[in-house]
Amino acid sequence: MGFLIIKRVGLGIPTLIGVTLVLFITLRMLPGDPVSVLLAGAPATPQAEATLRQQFGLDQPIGLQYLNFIGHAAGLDLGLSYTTRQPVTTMIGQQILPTLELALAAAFVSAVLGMVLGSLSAIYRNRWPDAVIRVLSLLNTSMPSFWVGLLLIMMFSFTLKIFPATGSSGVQSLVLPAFTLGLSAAGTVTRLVRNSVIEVLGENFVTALHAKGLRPRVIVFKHVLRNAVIPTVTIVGLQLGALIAGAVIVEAVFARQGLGQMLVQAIAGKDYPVVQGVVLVIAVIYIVINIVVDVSYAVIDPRVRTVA
Amino acid sequence: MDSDSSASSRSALHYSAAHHARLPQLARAAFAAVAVLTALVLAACSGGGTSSSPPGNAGSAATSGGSATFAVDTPFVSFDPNVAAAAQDARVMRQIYDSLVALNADRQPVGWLAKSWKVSDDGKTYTFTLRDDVKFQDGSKFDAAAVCFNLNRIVDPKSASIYAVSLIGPYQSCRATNATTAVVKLKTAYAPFLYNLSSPFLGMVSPKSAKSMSLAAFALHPVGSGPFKFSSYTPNDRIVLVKNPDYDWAPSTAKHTGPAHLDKLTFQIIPDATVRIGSLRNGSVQAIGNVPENQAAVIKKDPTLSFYAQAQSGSPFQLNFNTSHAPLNDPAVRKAIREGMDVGSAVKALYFGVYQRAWGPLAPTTAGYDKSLENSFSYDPAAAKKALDDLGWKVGPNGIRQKDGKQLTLTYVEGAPNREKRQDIAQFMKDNLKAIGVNVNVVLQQSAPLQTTLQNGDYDIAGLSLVSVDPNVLYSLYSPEFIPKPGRSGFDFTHADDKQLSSEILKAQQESDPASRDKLYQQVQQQVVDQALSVGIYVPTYTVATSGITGLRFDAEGYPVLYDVSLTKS
Repeated sequence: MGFLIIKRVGLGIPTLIGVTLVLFITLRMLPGDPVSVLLAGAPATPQAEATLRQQFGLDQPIGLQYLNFIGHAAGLDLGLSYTTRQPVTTMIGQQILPTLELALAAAFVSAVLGMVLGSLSAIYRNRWPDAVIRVLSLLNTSMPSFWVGLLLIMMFSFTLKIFPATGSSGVQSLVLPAFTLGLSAAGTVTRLVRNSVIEVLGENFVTALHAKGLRPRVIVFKHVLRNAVIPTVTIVGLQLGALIAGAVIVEAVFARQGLGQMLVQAIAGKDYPVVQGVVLVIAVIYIVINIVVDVSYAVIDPRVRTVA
Repeated sequence: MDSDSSASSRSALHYSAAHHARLPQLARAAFAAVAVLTALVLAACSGGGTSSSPPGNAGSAATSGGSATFAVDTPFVSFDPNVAAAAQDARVMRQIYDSLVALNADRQPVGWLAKSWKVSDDGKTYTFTLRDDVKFQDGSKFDAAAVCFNLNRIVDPKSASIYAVSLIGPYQSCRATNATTAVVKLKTAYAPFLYNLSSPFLGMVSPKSAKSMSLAAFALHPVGSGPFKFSSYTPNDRIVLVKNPDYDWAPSTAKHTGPAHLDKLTFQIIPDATVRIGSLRNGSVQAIGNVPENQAAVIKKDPTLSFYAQAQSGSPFQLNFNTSHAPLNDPAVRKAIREGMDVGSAVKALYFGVYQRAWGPLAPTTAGYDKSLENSFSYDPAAAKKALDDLGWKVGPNGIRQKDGKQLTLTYVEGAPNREKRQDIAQFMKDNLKAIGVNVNVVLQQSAPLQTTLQNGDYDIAGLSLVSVDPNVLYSLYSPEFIPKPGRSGFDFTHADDKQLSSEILKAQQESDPASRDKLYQQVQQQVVDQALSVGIYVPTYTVATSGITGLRFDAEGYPVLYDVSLTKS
């Protein structure tokens, strides 16, 4: 297992270099210039423009800019934001926890809802509860999250006054955003669990369990689910990355702190250091999740250990 | 955040999630990172900066104490007035910093931190006599040295000031002759200087605090001499201010003296307009900015809510005609195009009466505004068609006019996201002009690529509005030195290079007599309209709705002032 982890971490490094390189070049190939955008609100003098360009290091050749970025990033220094002039590491440090909190809570919601609904769907295959659940999960996946978020706010904040509509402190303010983000992911998990459970239900050991006289519900929740859980772990793990990105929209609707809002502002303002920093951090998280998912296979299913 | 882009970012996320399981890990991670980035780029559509505002009623028996929350739509960038440039930051800075002067209802400077001032005959030397009873929030004393410190900090290249540096124009030097006398020298006469000093961007920062902190630290721990002092800041969430109990130097434009009524004032960022309105109605916030126009009527009718629409001073939203190349280098064509634009109907249909129609290059709340330009031309498609016919632009077989084998096609550039429905204006004008045989290509671009298009001059029509406390905004709009060039931005989108026009603007800039200055600016406005360089569309207006508070007013630039605000007894 140790070898497995080392191998996966080793693969992560070229991935990160690839991501930063593509990002670095793409950002600079897109039309527009950060200094012009920054000065778009003020009639600036050529000296003011030159001063900013020099301060940001934009007067250097792009190759040198990239090497500087990588060199500093290796020392955990992601540079200064063009707009706020704050260190990007500080800015990310302040915003990453609320985003991770939201993404993890949403992943939890989607995993729990997905497992329960998926199993029920499989047990009642082709009967009315299955139909209802399948329609619901399709709806969940199809509804845009900003709309779901607004509906939840209208109902639970403005009408019933159970949860606050905005803010990023405390569990109370996490409930609605986590459900908003988790619901759409839950649809995918539900379908996946349903298929896995149905597949496992057809295996011989299940027939044997039936022959032993166990009740169907016990068979599903005690024996079948454990086998169906592997694809679920994969998809929930991979969804976590997507959920971090999806947090952008949910954070805006619920006025939450987080990387999303910061990134949206930075992209609009061509704030290269912030965009680079945030995407680098998201890429690192993604790679870590992948490693964790791979390792968790080994834990859940001993057969994987020997293959690796 | 608009619905279209949110939807597309979602589909991008699902696309990536669905494909992961089958890809090898390296490709998976790389693909995911790219997908995440794509999704975020697609989602990059939050509202842009906004503008300014009008009058509120002061409560006669203001209650003291309590706290209020003002919800704004855009995250803050920096609270250092010497460096910052964003309107959303100015709304907070106005509460923390005092300026040397304030502008009264007639837009004339009155004393604030400066008691009085003298301007030399050549207009180059300003001698300010300062109040001697003012303390910054860190306890240090405000004096002439502090004034000089502020001005010198603005021009210091290390500060890399974006906006304040443009407000003090030809600033040369500042000398404190004694504790209460500051002598400021300019390189050339510059009448806007005194008016600009009223701006929150020229609010006085405490030298003691600014020196003791790095630039980055001060930007998030502002210290001024204003009625509210900084308490805490949570990025992307809120800034909390508390009452400055020592405050006793409000300008005469305020409705009361002494400390502010509120004990605590919070600015909370709530990007979504529906959530802002809901939070106002359920009492979790007391004021919201940027009320959607289509909600204004409902809010105005609600007896529990107050609605404010403060027209922004400076230059309204105008469509500028690029006069540097055919076909709009011909004033007769420009006039015909203007006659074919039904501006009045467009503004009425899109802004529900909240925004007023603009007529010239200055907004009505700006000093020197020429009211005689209102209704000085009209929408007349028949006359427009005839004028184009007479100019040799005949309708071709496809319904589009042509002359010498060239079609009458105009490129109209507009920014994305759709700030203040400007994209809808573009669509409206396209349809108007199609009806008179003019083909319009509307090109929508994000702000960064748009800057490049403008710099390259690849357009016929481009819109712009600018906030400014002084009519000198016309200098940036119609002077050849501000014509955009590759690698260099500028606001003269019309490419106007007219000696008479630019010399009048320069004369006005140096004219110290307000009446003569106004006259010069009126001539400039008339010329812009006569030559049809730009077409005024609407006056950008900062809207605020409040509940449970009274006493909100707006400064000359249209930023809300919360000093007089108090909670209403319920």
